[in-house]
Amino acid sequence: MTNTAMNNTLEDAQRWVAQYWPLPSFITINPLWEDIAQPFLEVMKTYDTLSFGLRYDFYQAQYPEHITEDDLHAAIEQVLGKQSPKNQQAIVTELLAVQDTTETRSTLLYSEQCPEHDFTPPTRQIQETCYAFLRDFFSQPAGEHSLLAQWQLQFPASHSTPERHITAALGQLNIPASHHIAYLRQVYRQVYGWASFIKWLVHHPKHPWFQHQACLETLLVMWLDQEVALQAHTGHVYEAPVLLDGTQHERDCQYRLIWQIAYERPYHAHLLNQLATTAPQRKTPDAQLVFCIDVRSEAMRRHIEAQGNYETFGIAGFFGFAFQMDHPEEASQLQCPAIVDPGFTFHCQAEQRAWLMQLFPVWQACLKEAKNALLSPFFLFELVGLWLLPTLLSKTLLPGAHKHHTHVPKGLDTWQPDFDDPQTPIDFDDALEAAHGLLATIGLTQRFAETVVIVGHQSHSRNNAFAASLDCGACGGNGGIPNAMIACAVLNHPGIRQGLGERGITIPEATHFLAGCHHTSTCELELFTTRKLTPLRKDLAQATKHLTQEQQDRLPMKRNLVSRAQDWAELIPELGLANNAAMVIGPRSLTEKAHLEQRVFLQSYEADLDPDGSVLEGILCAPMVVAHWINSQYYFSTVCPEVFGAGNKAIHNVIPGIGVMEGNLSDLKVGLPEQSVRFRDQQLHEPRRLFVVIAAPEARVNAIFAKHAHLSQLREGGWLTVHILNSQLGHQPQFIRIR
Amino acid sequence: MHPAHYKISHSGLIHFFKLIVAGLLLVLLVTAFQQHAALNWHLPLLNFDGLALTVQFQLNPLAMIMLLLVTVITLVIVQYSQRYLLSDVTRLRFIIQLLLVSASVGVFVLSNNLFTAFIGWQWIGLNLYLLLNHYHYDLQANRAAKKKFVINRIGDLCFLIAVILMYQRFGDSTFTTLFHAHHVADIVTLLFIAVMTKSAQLPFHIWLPDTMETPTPVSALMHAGVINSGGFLLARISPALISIQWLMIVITLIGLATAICGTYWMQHQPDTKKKLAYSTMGQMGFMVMQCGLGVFSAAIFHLIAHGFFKATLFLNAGETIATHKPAKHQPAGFTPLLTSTLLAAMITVLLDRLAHAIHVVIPPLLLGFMLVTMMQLFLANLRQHSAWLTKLLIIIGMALLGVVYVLILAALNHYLDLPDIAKSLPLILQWGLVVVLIAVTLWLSHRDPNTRTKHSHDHTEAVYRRWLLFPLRQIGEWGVQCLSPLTWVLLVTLGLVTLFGLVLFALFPHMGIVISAWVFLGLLLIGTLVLNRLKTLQHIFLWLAMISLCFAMLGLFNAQPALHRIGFFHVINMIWLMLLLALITLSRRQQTPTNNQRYLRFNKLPWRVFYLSMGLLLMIGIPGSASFVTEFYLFHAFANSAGTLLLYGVVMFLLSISIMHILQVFVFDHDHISARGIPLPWWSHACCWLAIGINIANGMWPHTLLSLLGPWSA
Repeated sequence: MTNTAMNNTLEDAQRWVAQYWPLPSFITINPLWEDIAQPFLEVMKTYDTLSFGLRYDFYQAQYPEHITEDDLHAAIEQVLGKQSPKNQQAIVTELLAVQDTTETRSTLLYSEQCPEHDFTPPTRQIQETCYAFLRDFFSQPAGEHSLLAQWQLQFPASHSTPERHITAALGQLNIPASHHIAYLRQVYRQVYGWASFIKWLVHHPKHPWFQHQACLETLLVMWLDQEVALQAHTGHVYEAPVLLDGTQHERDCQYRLIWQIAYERPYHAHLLNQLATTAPQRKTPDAQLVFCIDVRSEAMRRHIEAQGNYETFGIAGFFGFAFQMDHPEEASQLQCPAIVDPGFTFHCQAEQRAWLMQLFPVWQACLKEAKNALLSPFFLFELVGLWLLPTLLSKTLLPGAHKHHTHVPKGLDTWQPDFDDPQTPIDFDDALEAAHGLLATIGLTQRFAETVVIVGHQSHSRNNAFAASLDCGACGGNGGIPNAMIACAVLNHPGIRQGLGERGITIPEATHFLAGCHHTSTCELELFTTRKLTPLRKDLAQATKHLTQEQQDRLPMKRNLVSRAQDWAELIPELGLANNAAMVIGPRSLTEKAHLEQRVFLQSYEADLDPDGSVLEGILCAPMVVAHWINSQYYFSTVCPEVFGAGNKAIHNVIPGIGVMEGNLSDLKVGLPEQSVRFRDQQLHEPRRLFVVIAAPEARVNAIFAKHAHLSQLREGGWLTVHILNSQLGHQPQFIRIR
Repeated sequence: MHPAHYKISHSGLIHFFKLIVAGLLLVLLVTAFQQHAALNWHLPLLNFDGLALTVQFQLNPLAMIMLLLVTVITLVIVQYSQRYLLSDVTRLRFIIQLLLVSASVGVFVLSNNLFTAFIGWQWIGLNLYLLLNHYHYDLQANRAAKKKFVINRIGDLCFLIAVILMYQRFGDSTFTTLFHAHHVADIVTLLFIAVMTKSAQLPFHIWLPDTMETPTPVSALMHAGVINSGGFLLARISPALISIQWLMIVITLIGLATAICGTYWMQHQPDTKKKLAYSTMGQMGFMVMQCGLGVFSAAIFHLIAHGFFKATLFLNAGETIATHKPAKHQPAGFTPLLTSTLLAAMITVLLDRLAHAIHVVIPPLLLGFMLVTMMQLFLANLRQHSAWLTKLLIIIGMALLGVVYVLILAALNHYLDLPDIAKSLPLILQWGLVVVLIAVTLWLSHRDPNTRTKHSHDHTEAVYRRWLLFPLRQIGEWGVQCLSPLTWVLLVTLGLVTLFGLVLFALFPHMGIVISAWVFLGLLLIGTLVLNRLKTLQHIFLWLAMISLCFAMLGLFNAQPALHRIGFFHVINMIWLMLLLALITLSRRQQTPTNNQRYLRFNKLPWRVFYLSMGLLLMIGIPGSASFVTEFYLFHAFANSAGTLLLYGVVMFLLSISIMHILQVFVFDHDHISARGIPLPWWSHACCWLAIGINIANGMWPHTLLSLLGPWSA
């Protein structure tokens, strides 16, 4: 086999390994993002060891109550094309009878063919080596260490490059060339988590923590070396299995996709039926609130609007201000989506505390240092151990007593941009551009209320390694407060307002922008201002009350939300983005009357204000893709938890700063944990691919999709479904069934 | 999806359990501070062949303190697990198992003789094994649980032999007898080995870092409550311990080595839970070292303080504190080093004076640890960027904590009334060690704690594998290759050997016993080695039957007529167990399995697997099962001849390893049990329960069957 052929094979095999961002910045991603050039069904056929849908009995249980015969017929037509009525009926009968095959063990890999108990599984050795490698992150000078070198201490290399090494090993094991891709893919599947982490390392060579050399091929080398050694030991001759029963597998893929589509259809119809078509005439509202597009904002917006004359908007939660936040003591945070480059860096100030306030942190730091030293932990435990009993008891028995306080980095809330000062992190033009982008995107260009609240959101939970997955995805897995505060400071700046006025957005002088925070786990909306705003605060409290009620009913086991969030024994502190299923891009008037059950990303967009479509293009290219990623992450963590899910939280073992393992030593766990998507035998997240409803002229939307290849791939390939509401038609559209 | 659909069962029952534990805690708290004589209970179990086995309990101050600790920890952990495992269908099973572990610890700390203590000891081990296997379809969890059980089994056997020796020499096993007897060094040493396995002392610590495959509350319970039983036992037998100086020195040194190694390895783990596990190992080493130095109250205080500390750390193990910048190490300057050393020395001397004044003795080595801890704390304090007032206050606070520590120690000393100081490590050596401690601390303050050498990983297990496990496996493999195709050959050999034994026994009654015992033990040894490597369940049961027969023969060919009855007793009980195993394995081919995935997904234990595990576990010799009675009496019979005793011990040890191995491979590995979900007919259930019931009844009240057998075997 030539080197190029091998390189192609390797590239093919590595494509489905997604990058895994270290846990503190839980970045959601479609794990099959590099495969979107192919339609969903084709990808499904390619990866025969992954499941792309739920078990048949889950779908079948929904028939005929939730999935009707019509849905099935439509889905069949969509997947298999037009069928004769008789044929179609036969397929339906078959769909209702089809059963999941019991999982058979794969025999593709050489080591899978050898009798077990004769050897340590290669997976274990690789896990151990990767773990040891990771262990060295903490102790070696950066850049000194390579995974391959570590491995080759045990298995000396016989070939110059990994590619040659792999080719030689495959030859030695007698793997036929036709099996190579499948074989290598199967190897990656065994160590998917570590592979994903290494892929991230490869793509982030400048990360200050991990400047170590590792590449994905190393994993293959490690695997194959062991199999070659095994061959020398057992002498077993590789028997190439029949790769895949093509027709059988294809049929299985088609049927599952048919069920999935039929399962999604009723929800689509339900959503469309709820959308209003006529925009009410509005007077100037008492206050306007700008939220993140996050599905949890939907409920908050609904309840606030119900309290009075309030108008709400939705936009990606970094509010157009993409920056990095540097803190003198803590690691710097990215306050924007992972696909956006941070435009500037905001430096927080070190906290100046009075001597009395210093006591506790200094005390903690001393304990920590003594605890981790070689000779001091023993007596230290005797000194302080007994005094931890009250903590132990109160945290367990009275979790609600440990209240959370919102932490605002020092210097952020009082920050006023002074564009003449070279120290100001953002320059005037960028600030103006961002401010204009924010207002233009959501269509807030006139009718400004006196109070405009920009609401970031943040979640609070204790003892939760996945806390970042509950925070704002558009802020790099952090809370959105800093972005809201910076946006407000910029929008309140007179110079910026003047600049906006020149661009046609006149903000009345009386209008004041202020930052807020939607605490998603406790359903509170906190305002960061010294102003009184009594009626607004009263209404917000009322909204919190109603939303709390709604939230408590959705969660397993009825509990006070505050104690749920503060309880260190709680594995489901909140539902997060579970059940997300759709995205509506359009004015709020469309969805105002609807109860969307916290399933919909709501992006504000006024088609009339965007004749050239540039705003829509921005929305489709960024927030929609991010929503798709979030949706896919939930989808695949649910349907294929063995590979894309993070497993059981109860036995998670945290590697600080990197991720979790299950138990002592396992694959690095990627994706979402079981407790985020399932509760016992019920789905917390019902997996549906993203349904995007766009209220814009059809031609404009189509032009944008045609312009961006990856967007049209997503749409054509069935990775998401797009529905266009043509608001210019002026008559009542029929939202009964979609194609 | 609608919210009303979330069904959460058994919450009421769990609340009820919590109430009971809380009630117990209340009662303990009320009675703890009332001065009255220790309470005693007796429960005669068996009086057979001159051996009177009695279960004895005593509630003394030490037991009281331990019970308080265990109940508090249990209450916290049950409350925690109730929420933590809400999404787990088998939550109730888990919580009951947690309570069983605590109850076993309760039995252990209340015991007033070694026999009762042994029962508690073994039940702790078994219950922990079950708990560690909570996710029983997870092979890693099985492996960890098995490792834990095997290591514990070494301790169990040492403990058992100690109990047997007690009965052999003094006719009973109460602690008082032990304290007043002479020449008990071997018994106490055996007990110390048991402590080493339970409290993870070098080189038996290897099971501890591997037990993270179960939900976090188990780790918390284990590290805060269960693992302390070693320290408790040392304190309980302290009057006997202090008279043996060399043992005290050995204990001190092993403790010290464990402490240093544990903490050193702890520093080099990247993941939270393994860090905590190695930290526990170090702390247990320190506790054992305190025992070795003769300050038993200090050891008890250490295990309490460590319990609360470690429980807090474990229950919070999901918290990621990774937002801090990775700290760059800066060597400490000369002035802070000098200041902190002087301050620490001053405070330590003051604390020592205070202790003297209130009649608490703190050995120099402990003072040394006190000093280096204070040094480290002050150094950390001085290097912080904080106001000088803060620094001063923190120094005062630490000194105050030290004073409180001394006062608590005095109170505990008074309350527990344990022997205070013993002849242990010579003082000159202790002072030498103190100097080393200070020097090391000073040296480390200059060094980046993260720099490592190749010794910074724990290689103990690899050594075991290479030098112990691997050769044994090879022998087993060889045995299987030689014997497995010829199972009938073995049967014939067994028959011939039996005949041979009979003849020998008839011709030379005295020679015969020893020879036949060695022949059977040899057979047993081969059998157990081979058992590990067998590949089908049917084969295994055949071998198990043969091994059981060998056991029976050991009794039957003995010169003591009483043991003949034990032999018959064993045969009768084993017939039932074999029937159970046969039922489970043979009747499964005809039906199709129900949905396997369901069981796996929800971690439910199918009945078939439950019976199979029960049948196998009942063969290991857990107190309360019939095989325990056989095992105990056979041990007792061999107690005179050290060689036979050792061989028998090895066989028993290997047998339990084999059975654990079978459980792991053939019961929990779902590749092997394709039929785990097949339902059993009602009569199978009945037979299985009958077999289990008979076995347990004979284990709990062996007297009935033994007296029935009396006339027959005479």
